[in-house]
Amino acid sequence: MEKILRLSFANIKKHKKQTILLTLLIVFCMAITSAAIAGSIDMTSIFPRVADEYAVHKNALYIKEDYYNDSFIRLLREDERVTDIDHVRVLFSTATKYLDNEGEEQSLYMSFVTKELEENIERSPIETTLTDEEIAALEHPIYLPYAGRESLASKLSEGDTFNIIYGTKLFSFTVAGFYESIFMPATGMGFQMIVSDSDYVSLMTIIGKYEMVLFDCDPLDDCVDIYLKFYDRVEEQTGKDIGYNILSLLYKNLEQKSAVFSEIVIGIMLFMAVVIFIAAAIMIRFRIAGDIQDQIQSIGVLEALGYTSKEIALSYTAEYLMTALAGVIIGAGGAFALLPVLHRVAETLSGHHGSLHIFPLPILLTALTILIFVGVIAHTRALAVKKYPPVQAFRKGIAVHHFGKNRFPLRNTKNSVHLRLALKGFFDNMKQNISLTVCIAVSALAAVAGILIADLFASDLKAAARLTGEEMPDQIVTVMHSANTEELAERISEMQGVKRVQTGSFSLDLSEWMSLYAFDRESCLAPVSYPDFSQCENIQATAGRLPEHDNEIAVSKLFATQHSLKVGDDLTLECNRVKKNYIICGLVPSMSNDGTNLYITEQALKRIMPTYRPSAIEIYLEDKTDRAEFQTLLMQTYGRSVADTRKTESIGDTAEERLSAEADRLIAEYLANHGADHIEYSIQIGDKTISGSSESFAIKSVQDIKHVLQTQMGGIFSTISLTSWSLMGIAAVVSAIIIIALMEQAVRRQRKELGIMLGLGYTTKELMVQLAMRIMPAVIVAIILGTVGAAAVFHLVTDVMVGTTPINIPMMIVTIIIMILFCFGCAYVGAGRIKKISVTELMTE
Amino acid sequence: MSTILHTDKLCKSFSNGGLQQHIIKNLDLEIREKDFTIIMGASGSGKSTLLYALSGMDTPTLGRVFFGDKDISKYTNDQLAVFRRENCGFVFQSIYLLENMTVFDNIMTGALVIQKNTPELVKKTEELLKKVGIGEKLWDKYPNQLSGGECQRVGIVRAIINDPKILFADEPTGSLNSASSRDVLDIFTELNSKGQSIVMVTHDMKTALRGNRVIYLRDGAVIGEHEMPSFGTNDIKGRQEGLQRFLDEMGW
Repeated sequence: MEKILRLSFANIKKHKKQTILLTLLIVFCMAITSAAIAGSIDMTSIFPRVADEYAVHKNALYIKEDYYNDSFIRLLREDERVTDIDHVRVLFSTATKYLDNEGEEQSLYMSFVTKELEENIERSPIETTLTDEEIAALEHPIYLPYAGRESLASKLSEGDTFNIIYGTKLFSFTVAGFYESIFMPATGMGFQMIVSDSDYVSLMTIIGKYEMVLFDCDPLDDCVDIYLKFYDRVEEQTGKDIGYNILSLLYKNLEQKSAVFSEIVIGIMLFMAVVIFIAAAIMIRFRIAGDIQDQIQSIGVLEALGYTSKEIALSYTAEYLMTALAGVIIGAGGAFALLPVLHRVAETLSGHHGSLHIFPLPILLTALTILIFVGVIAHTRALAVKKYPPVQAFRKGIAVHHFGKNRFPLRNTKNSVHLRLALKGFFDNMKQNISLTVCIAVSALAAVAGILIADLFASDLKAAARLTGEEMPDQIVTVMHSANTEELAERISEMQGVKRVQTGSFSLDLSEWMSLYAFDRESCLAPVSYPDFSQCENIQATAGRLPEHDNEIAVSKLFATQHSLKVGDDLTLECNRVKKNYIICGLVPSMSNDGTNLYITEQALKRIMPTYRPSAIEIYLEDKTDRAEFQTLLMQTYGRSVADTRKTESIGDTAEERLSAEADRLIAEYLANHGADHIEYSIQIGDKTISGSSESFAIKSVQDIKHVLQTQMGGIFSTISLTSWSLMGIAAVVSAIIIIALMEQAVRRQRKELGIMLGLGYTTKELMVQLAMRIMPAVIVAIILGTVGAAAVFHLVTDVMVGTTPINIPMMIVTIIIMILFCFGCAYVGAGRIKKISVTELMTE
Repeated sequence: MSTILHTDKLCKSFSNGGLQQHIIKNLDLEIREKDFTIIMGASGSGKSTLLYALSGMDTPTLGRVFFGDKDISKYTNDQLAVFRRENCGFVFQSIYLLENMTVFDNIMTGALVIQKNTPELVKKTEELLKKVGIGEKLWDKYPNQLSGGECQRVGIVRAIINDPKILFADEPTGSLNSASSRDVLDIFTELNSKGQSIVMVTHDMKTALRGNRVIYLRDGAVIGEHEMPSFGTNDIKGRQEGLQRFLDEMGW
């Protein structure tokens, strides 16, 4: 054993640089794999641990105040699996926004509770740097979920001002602290915030009231089933569709949601690890084959001295096992360093704070697996030593003898002799080039996949927006029920700076959402309706076409896959117990609302929902129009509210102004509380006539969908994007290591030939180019294969998930060129070892 | 005859385990154009080291080497490579053919580095190969399929294909049998007779007789020179005796 280890150490000493490179690959592989596996266990356990510790109840239902009935509690209690129920009044809105550090409005779902109410929901301690006295001195204190400090566009801290906007109204709060919110903890899910009792009362006048029904059940896994049964019984009892009147935040769904993006990050990391391992495996095979060729005479001497070929093979195996052992030990250290980072990422993405739990078993198992794999690969390759008995080994086998076909004879050289010699070299090393092709192809696949994913989730959200299957206008106006949407749209289209408008059903205000059912009420669909889909820019059918007639609908690709639907199939829709048949004329890639978007023309929607009228206006502004200014003008003109009419500063001094203000207040009151849809007034005071109408109360809210997408998904998209770029970076490092190692080995193996060529007058630069060019056919083929493979995988995955996603072809071409140049650069640098060859030493050997 | 190469206080040292070994010491030497210069000396006298320093294969530790009026001792490795391919041809004892290339490609590899692959170049290669006795059937063979003598003749063609201004040979017959040696030396003689400058290192007197000037080295310094008429003259005996006498004087 000792002599085997001695041989192994001698080899390691001889090839220090290559050993370091291989160790580096194993370090990467070990660190990423074990961190991904151990991190995955830790990350998925954050929510259950937090829920166990802080949640008073594990499930919550938000029921709109005007839909809620106390009998719902009884219906829920009747399920014997429900062990405990409570309910509290909260404020909730999807049309709320906040001002970020740049003064930009950012959309965010918000729920407001008081401290007293919060105690019924969670028992999370408040984290704050302020003293009790300082908090008591605050006029409008607010406590935010941890995400307010960590993932909100403006990262807040205690004492900062937090401005909340609803319509044209702005509420300024001072951040008093942070806490663990179980149900609305992150930008993607919305914020539940604790405010003072007086602020709660003020907010109550404008923000929607919901009854938050909290319940526990046993077993916990049955929470979804319990809810579905409750859902049916509520509809049965009320005779009305629930639609979006009830929002469910169930333990199982929250657990899944809190882990989904962490799982994507883990998936990307594991993919990286596989790429690195393949590269390491190929490198080990290259190196052993090269070492045996290099040391064939030494092997002969060792065999002549009495070493068996098995012992020599074992010395190679031991060499790589020692290298791998060093790699896994350092890699394990790397994993321990990465785990807190991953934990932090998971906390940021989920919005939940939990202590880091390190699970050592996955790390140990990963190390063991890597060692076994390396041992097996190295030993199977090292057994090639057996092919060389001492005498043959002394004669360097027959490796240096050439009898093969003379490819690219130089007498046919037309242009560059260097290119010709490179091509000769390429064909002389076919076996090695095949391995190299595999290795670079896998790396290229990883790199291109990284770029495609990063592009998809790029910061401008262009590609991601495409996947929502929804239009991306500059502003979406939700119209008051009393207003005439078409007339208002017409007037808005005449405003300065407006490019075009279109009316539709799509609103970001959840209270405006409609629902249709399919498959005997098993599926709930959200209609996205326009008078004419040909005007749509972002909604595109990837199969069939968008609906044109009143018997046609298009569904999301995801929905079609889930229910095995295809273009041409019939689908029966139901609304308020009315059923109508529609033909599916197209499939739309859409990931929003879990693929439940239903694309239907206004005419078609009226067949099943005769009272339907568009509630939203989508506004496209000209490029030069200032969005914020336009929004302010729009709200001042058409977006007044009840609260505005109550402001004393809007009343004025003169009798006319006071009368006018009172008239406006009455209009607002009638619109809001008495179902009036149009009011006009005219008052004669002496010879003056004051007149007005409900026109200035036409807009309920204005929102920027891009902002919503940015706020809700921006952090997550950035994390995925960053992980993807890292994937690309790692793939580049792996490619560089492989190519440099390969080149150095090639120079070592062909030292004599290269020395002769130097003697003949070839410069080192020419030979470096030649050597680099030798692998370029393999590299080009590999990169093209990898790119095509990545595009195919990307296409396949997005096709299944959200429908065909266009690939940015010019970007792909640029990527291919950059990758080829990068590989050439690495090869050129690796070939730089030529400079160490001394012609004289070689000639005088 | 004009000087093609000359050195000015040329020194070459090697470091061996921290110890400096001075192989060439303050050597001043002139190589004349069209001469067949033979460098002789005992083993370790610095013959090959001098040859490589003269030919730009290696750089001197101190002193200068002039090719014509150009000081090549300050050239970078790549400048030396360009200098070699434009001015020098090399024939080695170990031949150093590229094992993975055919006979024809071995020669073309040397030629194409500075010449374009014109039909004239292919024709010239064919003519030279025929001239040194390498028949057409061997052109597409690999070096391991040839005898040592055949390989060395291919090596000579590779060395002269670019019409070098000077041809360096380091014991070109050292690994050949006597018949092959004679054939190879005949080629050198013929080349020299046509005006090719040759510098050859040898420790064989029969080989040395082919030259017209013999330089004798001891401990890295020139200790003697011997001039002879060209090999083509009839007084072979006189040449042999003269050289023998010189070598005896040098302590050969």
